[in-house]
Amino acid sequence: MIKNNLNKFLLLLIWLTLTFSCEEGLDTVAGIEGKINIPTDSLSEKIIWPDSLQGAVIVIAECGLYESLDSFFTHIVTFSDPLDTSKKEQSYFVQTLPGFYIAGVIGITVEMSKIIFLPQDSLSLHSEYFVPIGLYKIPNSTLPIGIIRVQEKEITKEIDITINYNIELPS
Amino acid sequence: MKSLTYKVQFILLVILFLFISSAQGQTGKISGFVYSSKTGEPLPGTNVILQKTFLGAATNLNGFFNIESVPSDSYTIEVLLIGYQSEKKDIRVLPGEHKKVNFYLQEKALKSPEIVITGAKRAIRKIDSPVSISAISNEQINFRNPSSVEDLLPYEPGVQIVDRQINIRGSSGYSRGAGSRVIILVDGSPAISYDNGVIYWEAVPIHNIERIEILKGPGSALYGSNAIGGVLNIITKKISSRNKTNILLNGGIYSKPGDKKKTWTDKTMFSNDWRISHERHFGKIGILAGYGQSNSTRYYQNGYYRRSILDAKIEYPKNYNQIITSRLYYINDKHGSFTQWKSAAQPFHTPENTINDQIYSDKFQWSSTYTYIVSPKQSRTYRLNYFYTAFQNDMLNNDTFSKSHIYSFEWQVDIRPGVKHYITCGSEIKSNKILADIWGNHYGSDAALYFQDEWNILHNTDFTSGLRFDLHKTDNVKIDSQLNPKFGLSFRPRKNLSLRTSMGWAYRAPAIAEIFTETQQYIFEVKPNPLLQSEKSISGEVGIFWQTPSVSFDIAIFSSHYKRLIEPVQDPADNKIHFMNITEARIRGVEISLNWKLPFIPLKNRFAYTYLDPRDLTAGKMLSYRHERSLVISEQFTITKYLTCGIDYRYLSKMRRVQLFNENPKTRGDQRVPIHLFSGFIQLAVNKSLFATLSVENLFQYYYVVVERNMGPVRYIKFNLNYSF
Repeated sequence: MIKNNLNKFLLLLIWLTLTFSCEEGLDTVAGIEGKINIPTDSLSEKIIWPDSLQGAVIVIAECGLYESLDSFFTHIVTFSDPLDTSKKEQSYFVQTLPGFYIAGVIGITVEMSKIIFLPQDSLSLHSEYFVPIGLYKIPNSTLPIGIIRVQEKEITKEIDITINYNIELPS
Repeated sequence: MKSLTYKVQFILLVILFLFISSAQGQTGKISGFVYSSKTGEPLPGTNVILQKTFLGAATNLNGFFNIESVPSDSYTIEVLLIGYQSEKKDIRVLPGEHKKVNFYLQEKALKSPEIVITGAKRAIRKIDSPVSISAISNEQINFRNPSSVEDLLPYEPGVQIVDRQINIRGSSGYSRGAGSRVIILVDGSPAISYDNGVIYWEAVPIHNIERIEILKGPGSALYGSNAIGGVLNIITKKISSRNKTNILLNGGIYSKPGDKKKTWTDKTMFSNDWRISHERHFGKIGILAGYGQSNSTRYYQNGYYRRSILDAKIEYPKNYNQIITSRLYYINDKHGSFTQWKSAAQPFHTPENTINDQIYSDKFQWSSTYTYIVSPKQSRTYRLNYFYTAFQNDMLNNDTFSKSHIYSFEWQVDIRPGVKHYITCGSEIKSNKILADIWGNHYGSDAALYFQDEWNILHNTDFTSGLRFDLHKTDNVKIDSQLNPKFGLSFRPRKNLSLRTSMGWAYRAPAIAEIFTETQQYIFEVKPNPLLQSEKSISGEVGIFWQTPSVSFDIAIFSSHYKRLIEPVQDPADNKIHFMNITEARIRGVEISLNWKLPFIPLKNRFAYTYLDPRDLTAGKMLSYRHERSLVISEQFTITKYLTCGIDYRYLSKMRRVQLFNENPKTRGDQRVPIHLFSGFIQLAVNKSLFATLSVENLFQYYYVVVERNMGPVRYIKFNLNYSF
């Protein structure tokens, strides 16, 4: 009797194992990964960060050429957590859907808490608080802007951006 | 005048002496043995009670019990033991008589606790309770092999744990460690910190637990603030009547995520703990002392902890009718801090600038209880409690500390004025003190009076009414006074069937952390709200409980209406988090539990389902951080006398609403998923003193977030060895 029951129990276990395969739950994410470099003073090697900026985030916008800051902000898809402005170099990751994007860094002129919990599609309503300070360009390319392709369940890597306080948006 | 006073005192003393002498002359004694009807072995630890009195005893290792000074009368003597059918006998005790009576108990297929104490502040049969109470037995605790009490709770209907915060019937959401709507008691003494008002699970003893009781629904009419959502009562084991040493060894490893990007370390992620305890008697005095250490890397970066735990218990049965129990618990803890993940691509990593964040903490509790059975009709209990918690955060740009002290004293008297009434009343005073930089230095005091009458209207119907008056004061702010009544009805149309209904008012005073916190942790900024008020609720439930030796079924339908519910929300003006009184909220739901064992098959089955409808009536939205549906299915199979195995399946529906990070449909940033978890165990009981258990949690390595940007535990394989000699 016991042996018979044990067999039934083992069969149940095997059935459960096959039904619920391992390693499920959260989907594998797609997005953009890279490093952010903040310039330093050539003599003191101290990080150069203007007092007027309370912090910075990486923004990912739909692919396109934007004539004004406002039109750029209306195409922002998502933004990252705040950057650590005390570090010369840091890595980042921003989740996106598959598609073509441009990536940049914006400095924030108000307290970070005013921005960081905003619904991500409402960023364009607050553009007066933003200063563009970085834009991804393909290394060794003369193109003014780098277009980033993100594929399903893949992370596009080495999208490194160097902070530039005198940046101008390409038009 | 003075001589007259002396005369009066002398006459009173003589009358008292005569009364005591005559009372002693009118008493008898009852003793006997309790055996298993199947094996004939004596049954130690059996509760023997004289119904409708406060007299009773527990059997020793030989199954022997002895009840002294029993007034001459007719009684019903009842014996109760988990896993056995209770037995009753009618006896008559004559003056000076020594009545001997033996019992043979039949084993039940389901081993669920028969007696609960949390609902009425005294031991009653679970079937008589007018409120919903779940009880976790010592056997269930052993099989689950938990690291802490919180690991056991999600398997109970109506109970959810959201990132270490307990939530009974949807009462609590998630507040990142501030405020609790469930009070925790260890042997009746509260163990909630005064500063942030939370339960520190590591400060709740996991070893030596006899059973855990969970009162679901408002408990403020007996337990005051914090019991607005429920009461969790940990009842520790009595000290063994023989000398005993216990050694416990636990070791476990976490499985590495298959996707390499998710792995934060190449080293083995592990947990281990050991504990040694010894208990013995010096004359009448029973003493238990234990010491242990725990170490873990946990499954996420910077989640490690190192703990040392010291505990002790003393039992001193002064006379047959007086017992003093004292308990001490100290834990020193150092652990890392993990606020949120680095990114969705590296969910087990902490952000780089928080990698060295750590917290040092100490928790200490000393509680003493003195119970005095004055007469068969009256019993008094006195409880003294001191609870200390302290932490020191060592974080980037945010070193904070807090030290919190709670001193409390409770006096409770139980009276049986007649055969139809059972009155419980008492008072409680508390003094609280905090020294902290995170929320400032504060002082507080509480005072309360409570009264409860259980009225046996008919032989099968009990009506309970109760009332508690609380005064609460923080610093020099005005005193908050609260009056919370309750009513309950329990009707038993059959011996094994009970219909119950209850209604209760409850409140919770905001924790100091909810009012005064001003801090920044990673990207979260919290600001104080000195205008925060106490929250209130009215709750009601109807339920049915049916129990046979092989089936137990319980269903409850409940509804709670909250006023000024305190929830963490972001201020739209500056997006800083603060605690606010949401005007109105309503939580309705149903919970069903079914335990059964089929005849001739050594397989025990358990099914528990809960449905919640938690609504913020002011905003017209769902309340955040609640799972609408939860389900537990458990199978336990006894392979041989020595070998038992089991499997559990736990489901939680996708959390409908969160607070901090709103989903971004443009990026699939919403990481919430329904939760499916399997766990299993196999236990080898070599003999009565040596157990070995192998258990696996999250058997199929299911990835899920518990709240936004915080992953749930990965697969954890654990081995436990428990040896007593």
